[in-house]
Amino acid sequence: MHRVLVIDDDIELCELVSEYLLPEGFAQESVHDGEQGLARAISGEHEFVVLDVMLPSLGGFEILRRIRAVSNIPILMLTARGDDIDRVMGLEIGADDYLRKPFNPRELVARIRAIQRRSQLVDVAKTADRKLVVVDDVEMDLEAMAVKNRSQIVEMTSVEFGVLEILLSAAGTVVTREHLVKKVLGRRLLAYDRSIDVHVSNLRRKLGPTRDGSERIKTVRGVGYFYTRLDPRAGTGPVADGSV
Amino acid sequence: MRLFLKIFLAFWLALVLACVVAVGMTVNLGNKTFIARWRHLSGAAISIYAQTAAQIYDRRGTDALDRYLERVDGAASVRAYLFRGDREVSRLGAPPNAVMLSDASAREGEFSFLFKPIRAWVAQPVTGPSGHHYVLVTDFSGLLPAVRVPFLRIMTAVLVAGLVCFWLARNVAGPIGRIRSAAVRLASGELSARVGPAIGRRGDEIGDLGRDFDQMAGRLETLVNAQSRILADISHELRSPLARLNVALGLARRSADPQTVTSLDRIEREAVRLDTLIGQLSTLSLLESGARVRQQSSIDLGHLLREIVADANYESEPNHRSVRFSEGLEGMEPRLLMGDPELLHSAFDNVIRNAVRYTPEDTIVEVSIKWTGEDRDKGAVIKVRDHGPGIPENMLQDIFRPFFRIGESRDRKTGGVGLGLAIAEQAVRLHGGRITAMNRVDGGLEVEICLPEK
Repeated sequence: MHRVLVIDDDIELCELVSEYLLPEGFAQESVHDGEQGLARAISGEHEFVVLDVMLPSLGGFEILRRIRAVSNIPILMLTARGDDIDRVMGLEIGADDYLRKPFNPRELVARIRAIQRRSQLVDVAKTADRKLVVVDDVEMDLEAMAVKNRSQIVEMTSVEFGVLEILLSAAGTVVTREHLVKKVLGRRLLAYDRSIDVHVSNLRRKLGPTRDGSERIKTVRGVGYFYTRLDPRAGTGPVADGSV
Repeated sequence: MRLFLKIFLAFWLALVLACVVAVGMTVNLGNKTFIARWRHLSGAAISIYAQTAAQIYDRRGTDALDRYLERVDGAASVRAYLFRGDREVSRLGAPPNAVMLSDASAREGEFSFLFKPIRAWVAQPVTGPSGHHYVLVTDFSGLLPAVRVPFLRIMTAVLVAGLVCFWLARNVAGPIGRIRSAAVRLASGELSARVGPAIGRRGDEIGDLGRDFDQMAGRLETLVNAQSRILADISHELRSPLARLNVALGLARRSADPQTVTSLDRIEREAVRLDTLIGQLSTLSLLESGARVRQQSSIDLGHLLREIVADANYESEPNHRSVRFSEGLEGMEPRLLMGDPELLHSAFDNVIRNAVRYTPEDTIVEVSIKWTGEDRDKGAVIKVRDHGPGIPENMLQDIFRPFFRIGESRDRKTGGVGLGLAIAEQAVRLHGGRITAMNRVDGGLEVEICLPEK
């Protein structure tokens, strides 16, 4: 049983979702109040948080900010349709993905699974004896889900971890946005969906520039991203045609 | 003509005319008073001159007469000529006026005057010692007061009048212009437009107008905001039950037999429809209240349209309708336009979908794009044309109103709830463009979207 925390002031909806999630293998705890939700989210008792950004008391964004200050627990936020400003803001603060409300419960389960798959991938990596991914000064420990930049621990969410893992594994070659969205968020890239770009920009901010001051993750306009290698001996260099 | 010019010219002209009339009347009046006085005075004086002249001529001849008359001229600035019949007996060369006057006076046998502007003549009949009848014509223009038109003063008056009129005209037309520009801004959706204190402080009717305008604008803003807030609130409140409905549906599906699944599918279809409606409602209220373009980036319109046309074509093919580019896109260089891509996408998408909805089977919805104009009105014109029944001429404007329906019946077959074109209109308006609809002569409706490049 995976323990999921749902923070939403709609009591009836929480009950219905709880009923839906149970047979899917999720034990749900529902909280209808912001303050209490925050306390529960950082208690460390859950694997996943579903957060409605339109909470009455303490706003959803504030809760998100406070959770992220202390925890990297995966967070899926529920947003109103059409509020793309809310969406981008939530992702910038550190939500892993969003789902607009009203949602199809199948979609909810799919999103939770997609983000959770990150930790399962880590298990696979462990058995394949691939514990560390090292590119230049960045070191990813897939087992501990930890990232070190010049021996300094960098805090990141599971989605950011996933994006970085894919970019580092393919360092020097272009990874398309479609590929990133599919692998990390487990869904199709839709028009005007800038989620992945927000995650990449969060990664850039957290990792900072390379030793020679250039951007770590470069954008190939209209195609995707690639991670720059400083060491010329490793890798094949950037491939501009996006054939990944 | 502009109000400013009208007021300015009208008042100035009136003042200048008043000036001219006043001056003219002074000059004339001066003459008349003078004449009245002279009638009395000259009677005696001129008859003495006349009798003397007649005596001198009768007794001493022409030379003596001439000498006498010249002496009079020298002493009193009065030039005189003596006539007998129609012949001047003095030899001083009488001008035609004098001859004419002497004739008239001789005929009537009495004292007569001739006044022309700044010239004055008097004719005095007299009988000499010889019994002959003479007429002495006197030109006493030299005695008239100097009538000079005061040009400098008139020019000063005209100039001062001009300045006063300029101030007056600006004082009236200026505030009206400001009220007008506020009205234009208000009409274009800038609900916070106000005339402001510049006019509001005035104590006159224009000040009243400005204050009333501001009050009206304030009321309008409150009403419109309240309306769009209600729209936003409604769509938000409708979401909660719909969210529960969706999850409940998901739960029901788990334990459903095949027959129930069919019903659930139908319920889900309606839920999706409801969701679309709520989404459109909230988009519309956001557009109406926001009155701003949310994100600005450069958009390749051709690329955007090509994608929408391809999607719409793919979706309408099973219904035996197609969507094509009729002109403008092949070989067109990509041209960029600043705007919100998502908003423009929804504008084009809604217009094209609407066309697909009304075009009959086996017809084509034609889409075209053209770049027009130079300099100021540079931009793109996108046309979407269907082969449907068109729209009654008097309703061409109304189709961009939310929930507008041509007929009373809510014809399910055509789908849609009547918000798509309203969203398109708002989106285009936020980009500074305009959207219009017209019936084609050869049938079908054509919607035209003009987007300025800037």
